[in-house]
Amino acid sequence: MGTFFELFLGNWYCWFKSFYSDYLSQYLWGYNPVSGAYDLELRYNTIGLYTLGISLLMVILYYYVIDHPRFCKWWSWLIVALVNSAIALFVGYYCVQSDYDAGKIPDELLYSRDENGEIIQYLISIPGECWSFGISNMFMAFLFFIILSFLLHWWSRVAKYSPFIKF
Amino acid sequence: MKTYVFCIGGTGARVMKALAMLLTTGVKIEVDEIVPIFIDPDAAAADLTRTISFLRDYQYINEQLHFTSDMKNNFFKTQISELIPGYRLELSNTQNNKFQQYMDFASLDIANQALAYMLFSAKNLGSDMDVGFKGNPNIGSVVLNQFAQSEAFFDFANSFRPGDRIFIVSSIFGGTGASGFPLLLKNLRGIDMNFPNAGNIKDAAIGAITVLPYFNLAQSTDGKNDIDSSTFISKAKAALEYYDKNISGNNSLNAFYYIADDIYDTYAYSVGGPTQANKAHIIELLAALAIVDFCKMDNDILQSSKGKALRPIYKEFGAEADDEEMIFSSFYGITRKEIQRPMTEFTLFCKFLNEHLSSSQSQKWTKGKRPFDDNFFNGIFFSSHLRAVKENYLQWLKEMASNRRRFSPFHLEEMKKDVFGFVKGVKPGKVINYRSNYDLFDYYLCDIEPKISNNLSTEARFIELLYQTVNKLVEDKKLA
Amino acid sequence: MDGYVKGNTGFEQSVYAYLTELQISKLIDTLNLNYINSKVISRGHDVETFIHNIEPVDFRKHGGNLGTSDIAVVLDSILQRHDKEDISIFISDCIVSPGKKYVSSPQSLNNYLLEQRTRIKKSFISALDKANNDLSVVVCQLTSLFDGRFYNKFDQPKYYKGGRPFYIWLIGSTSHIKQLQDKVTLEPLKGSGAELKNVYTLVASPKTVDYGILLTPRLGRFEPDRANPRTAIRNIRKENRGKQRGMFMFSFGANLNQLPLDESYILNAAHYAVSNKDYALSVKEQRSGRFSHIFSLSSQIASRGNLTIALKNQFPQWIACKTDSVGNDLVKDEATEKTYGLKYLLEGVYDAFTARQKDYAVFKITIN
Repeated sequence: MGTFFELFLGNWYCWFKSFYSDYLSQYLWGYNPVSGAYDLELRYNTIGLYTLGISLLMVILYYYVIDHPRFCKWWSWLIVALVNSAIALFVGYYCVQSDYDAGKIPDELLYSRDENGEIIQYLISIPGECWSFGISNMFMAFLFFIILSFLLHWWSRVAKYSPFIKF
Repeated sequence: MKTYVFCIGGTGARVMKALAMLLTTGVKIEVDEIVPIFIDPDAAAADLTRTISFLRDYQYINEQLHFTSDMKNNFFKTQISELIPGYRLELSNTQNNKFQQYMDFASLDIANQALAYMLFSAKNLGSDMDVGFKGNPNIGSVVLNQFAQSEAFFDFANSFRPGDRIFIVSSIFGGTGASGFPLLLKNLRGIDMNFPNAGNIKDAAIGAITVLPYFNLAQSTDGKNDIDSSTFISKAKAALEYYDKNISGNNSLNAFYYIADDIYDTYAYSVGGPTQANKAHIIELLAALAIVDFCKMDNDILQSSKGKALRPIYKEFGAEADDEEMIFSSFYGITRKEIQRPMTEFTLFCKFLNEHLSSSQSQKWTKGKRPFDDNFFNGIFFSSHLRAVKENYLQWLKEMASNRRRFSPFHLEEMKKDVFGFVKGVKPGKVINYRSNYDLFDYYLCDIEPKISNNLSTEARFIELLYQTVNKLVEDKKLA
Repeated sequence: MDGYVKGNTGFEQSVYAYLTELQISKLIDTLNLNYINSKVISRGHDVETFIHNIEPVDFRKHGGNLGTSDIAVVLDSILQRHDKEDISIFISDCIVSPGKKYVSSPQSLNNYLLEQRTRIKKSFISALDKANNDLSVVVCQLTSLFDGRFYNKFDQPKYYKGGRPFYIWLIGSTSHIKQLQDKVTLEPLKGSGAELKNVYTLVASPKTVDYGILLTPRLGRFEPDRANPRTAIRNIRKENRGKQRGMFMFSFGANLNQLPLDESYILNAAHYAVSNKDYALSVKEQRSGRFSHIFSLSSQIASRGNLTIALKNQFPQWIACKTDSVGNDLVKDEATEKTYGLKYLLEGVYDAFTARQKDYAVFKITIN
């Protein structure tokens, strides 16, 4: 059970894995090429929790702080969801870019080198893939937003039936 | 416990209407049921027609609301019953009859005819009475004597219970009221013991208000001038003398209220009928408060015995300020407490219906498991009766606001940027809520709606929801 | 061994050079020099005297039965005295000499040879057990000038002068042998008159080889299995673009540095047994990093399942080639470069090693 919770954020992130390379995905899973095991930080969890946290804040903001009669239609919900996704885009980009800048991404995942140590192939393209991961984070944030909206909209005073009455 | 309100003449009708308006807004009256009985030969009197129509709408709504412990609502709380059909005590033989035919002048002997000539002018004798007695109490006092024989009076007596009270509203300067009031009182205190509940009626708690002149009448356009307002004062004096002996003098009433005002306005001339639609006046509202006051009195103050009141009370009305434009703060605290809150609540309610309901229908409070959908808003409760009540109420306010002396406690025009500033002389308080104006209203509606009991019908839920919302808004914004 | 030491032969020179190298290398504390025939005769620690005093007469002086020398017995006595901290160096012509007895029953020669094999096997098995399976043997075949009497399988002498093979055996713990090989190679002996012809290394090591899955090089995609990221992969996909479409390839690294095997042996894919025939193996050396070599397995079929790759102890072909199967007359049998019975001796060693440790290294990968 513990493994289920440990891995479920990463598993969800893998639905949107096609935006970036497999090597970046392995890094985010915490793969350590030196030891051959997954003993580095599970970045999917950290970044996932940031994104989940921000989505939660946005949901609470929309349903309980703003909660305004003129901002409670389906398009208001959508605006907030899109803002949330936009924030997630930058969070995703920033997390990967700063990891790279801090040297946290192992060399073996970044480059493929020959016998003399010369780079023959760039396995992860920076900063392009930072943005790609950001895009996948956008989708995750949207997903979180939908789920959290479903879970938390019941007690909203005005926006309860946003975006849909059958929600 | 009921209070029978005998409304005599046009003033009676208008005061009853004012009372009904106040009961609509939820003014507390301490009785469960008001039974209006109109005595007016002027069958087509516009004021009466308007009042009766309003009463019917009121009663329809009252019946749809079930005032259980689930309801905090005060609007339409008091029952107004239609004891006799049409609320009117029928006066027979006044239609298509001239006065002299009514009193069978032709069959009188010479001596009596001579007496009649002394008492009644030729004009009087030739009057037709379909529109009342046109300011001639001498005719009225003859004709109105018949009502003790009417079926309606019998029904009234039949329904009377111990503890029920009676109140009589009349004007002192009109034709019907001036004559009808003492006659009615005489027939009540001296009721024929053959009537059912005669003993209870004889010693019932009876109150009355006599409304002294408060308007003038313009000259008629055709010069006929059957009613001359310059005679109002003199007639009042004559009546007062009579009352002194025969009402206050012999302790007929347990409580006697007087109300008068300086004369400011001149109404358009009308003898009666559908054209006698006088604009609502603050005096009528204050007269209605006399009824409220009477109903609130303890039983031990209103004791009677052998047809006489043991401790008669006499009251007059006074306001704190003598302004030509009266607002709530013009009154003393007791009056303000009675009317400011209910009227503010109901006015806000009406304004909401007019100004914002259509945009608000898409909000959350109309949806959910028990929605307020098109069926409700198109149903007769809302689109017919409630709408009629709202229109009449606002019209009533407008009339009082355009009359003289003016009573205009509200800004009735739409003020979307200052929705809660509609009570004159009252600055709305601040609430800790960033939403304002009708957005705040919607917010409160959505907040309160889930707390309304599901045991109520949709109509009752609607009124209850709106009541609780305006009640809370008025409270939080300190409007009353 | 008389023929090898008459005068100043390549044999003497190369042994001298080798032993001197050993001393210089500071790998060893003490060098114990011995002659061996039916017994072990200690000759002190000085290489100079050891080598320069080697003349046929010296062998006689020091005793022992120089005649029939049973290689199995000789090896056994060496192994008995061998200590785990030692390296034993055995230098011999390794010619199996059944002896005169067999003239009358040549058909029993085969039995004798087989018996040699069995005895050597037994000796080495006990040596392996004594060393807790930490033993390596390097058998080097060199050539030197031989001038003297050559005794055939029946112990019948005949004069021969010419090149003849001799063997240097290095026996010790795997790590010691590895150190020795790294520091003191046999290649330079070439210039000293003896020529290194062939080598056969046998290794037994109690330590398992360190290996693990690598993310690159690869074709297609896969993920290391979270439960066993070093030895299991899942979600394999073939390459779907470019020239290598339809191929799947993954790699794992292994650290074979502790094995004193020749680089060319390790890099030869034929020396490996791959359990799943769908996969083809290739081996590359890696200069730096945790692993010494990278193994890549590629397949067009990309089947799933358990895969076992084993680095086998392969019995070299040269041994059969260099074994004299006749043993009568060197020249007539065209066996001047061969040694009688060599195959049986080395098979005995081979049997002992493979009995105790079937493969030099085993890698198990699971593919899902």
